[in-house]
Amino acid sequence: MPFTELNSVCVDFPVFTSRSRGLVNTLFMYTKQEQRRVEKAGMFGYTVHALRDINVSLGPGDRIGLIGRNGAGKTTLLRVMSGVYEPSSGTVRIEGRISSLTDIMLGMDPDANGYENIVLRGIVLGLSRKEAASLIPDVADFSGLGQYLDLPVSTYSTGMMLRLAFAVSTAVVPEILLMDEMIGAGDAHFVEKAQSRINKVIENVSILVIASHNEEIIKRFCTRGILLDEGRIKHMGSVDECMALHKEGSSHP
Amino acid sequence: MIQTNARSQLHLLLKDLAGAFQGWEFWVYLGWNDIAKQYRRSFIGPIWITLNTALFIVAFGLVGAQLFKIAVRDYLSYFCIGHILFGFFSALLNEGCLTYINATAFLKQTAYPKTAFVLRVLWKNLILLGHNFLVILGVLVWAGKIGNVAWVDFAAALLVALISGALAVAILGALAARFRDIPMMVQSIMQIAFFLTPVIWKADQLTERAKFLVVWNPLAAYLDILRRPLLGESAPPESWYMALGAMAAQAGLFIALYLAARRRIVYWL
Repeated sequence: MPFTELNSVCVDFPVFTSRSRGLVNTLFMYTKQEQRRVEKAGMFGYTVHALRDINVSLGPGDRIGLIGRNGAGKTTLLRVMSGVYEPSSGTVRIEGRISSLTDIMLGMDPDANGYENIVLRGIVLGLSRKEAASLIPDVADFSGLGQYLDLPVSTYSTGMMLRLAFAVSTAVVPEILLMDEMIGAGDAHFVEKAQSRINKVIENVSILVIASHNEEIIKRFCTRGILLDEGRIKHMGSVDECMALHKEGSSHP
Repeated sequence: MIQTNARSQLHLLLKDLAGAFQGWEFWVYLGWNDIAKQYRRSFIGPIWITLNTALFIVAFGLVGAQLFKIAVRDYLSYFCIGHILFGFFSALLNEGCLTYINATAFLKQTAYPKTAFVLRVLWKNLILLGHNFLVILGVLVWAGKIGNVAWVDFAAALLVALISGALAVAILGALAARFRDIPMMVQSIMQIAFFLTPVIWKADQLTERAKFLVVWNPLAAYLDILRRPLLGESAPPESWYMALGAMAAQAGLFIALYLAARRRIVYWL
């Protein structure tokens, strides 16, 4: 059974300046004079507390909307939930096949043709080569790209490329789906088709977490909300409660 | 199942390695696609580089044989093997620095095993070495030395070189993600190392005082254990000790570095 369990998770980011980025500079930091100079400028050893004391436990059927201002920690939290960021302290336990649909074009190669890109994108999504190749008929049919699939993707229009990426990315239903803003694809008459396809994926995943600034999207897909503020969970509860608190917070900054 | 901090760092490192090998299709396909890119751009793809290498080797081989007063057959095969193998080391270490930097988009979206990207770099460079190996075979056939090749010794040496190479890529990749001047340093070091390692010249041409250049140079040791079997000689035990010792040292460094910093790599990208 898929679950996501975060226990008193904190995430601290080192902030690098161009000085602390280099080995030579870092070694020379140990000379006292240099250290004093940099300390004075407040440039070294900066950390940002991106998430603080996060406790979340999600199970099958959970539909979570992440709400919060820019910089509140939504993307960071999604990355912790996908296992990308191993927290500075606290523990994370996740069971289930995760799919993060933040960059749906990830792994695609403009020089390769449409078919090769379907396989590439499938493998990047975690499929075996055979499984990825088996997506071809469905993706070809849905994207409506037809003979264009024989051409290098670099010859496609932006809309066509997006359609292909969208079609592959939504061809498999994961157990845990993480999204940073809603994904969509292309031109006007494709929007509806894309909508129903992504809806079907969302209905079938076990756990959904979506971060969005779009109230309508959160209300449509989510049953619970998590309101983040400066890296802390300010409120966890119904979507309406979170939205109300969020609006209140924004009007009195 | 993902468990961060809930298990020991050693457990997580072993899981990372196991994940990379289980998911071999991921790095095999991506590494292959890196090469396929070159084939798509031009019909003969990376063979352009092979031809380029061959041309340079023949030209310099003829001059070098004159300079060092060695029979063309002998010098050309010696230089050809050395140049191609050193090129492999050099490309591997330079690209190794970019292992994680170039995988930023991947690593920030999905919890891939880190070491899968190490294997991708190794695999891609191994395919390129395979292309260039055609030149070595060609030269050995021309020089009439192909019958003398000690293939078993060569295979053993290649295995040691590949394991060491993977460890070096893993170490450099992680360090360069944190310290962004490391790729530049490695590039300069490898440029100098080309002249300090017996590629153009032979170790026995050195005076006693300069012998340390070969004795304390791990690159010279890897080169020696790989090159000699191809020339039908057997490598001295000292070269093997040095190569195996360097491999063990790298393994120690890899384990220490990854236990301490594996989980931080993504934060540095």
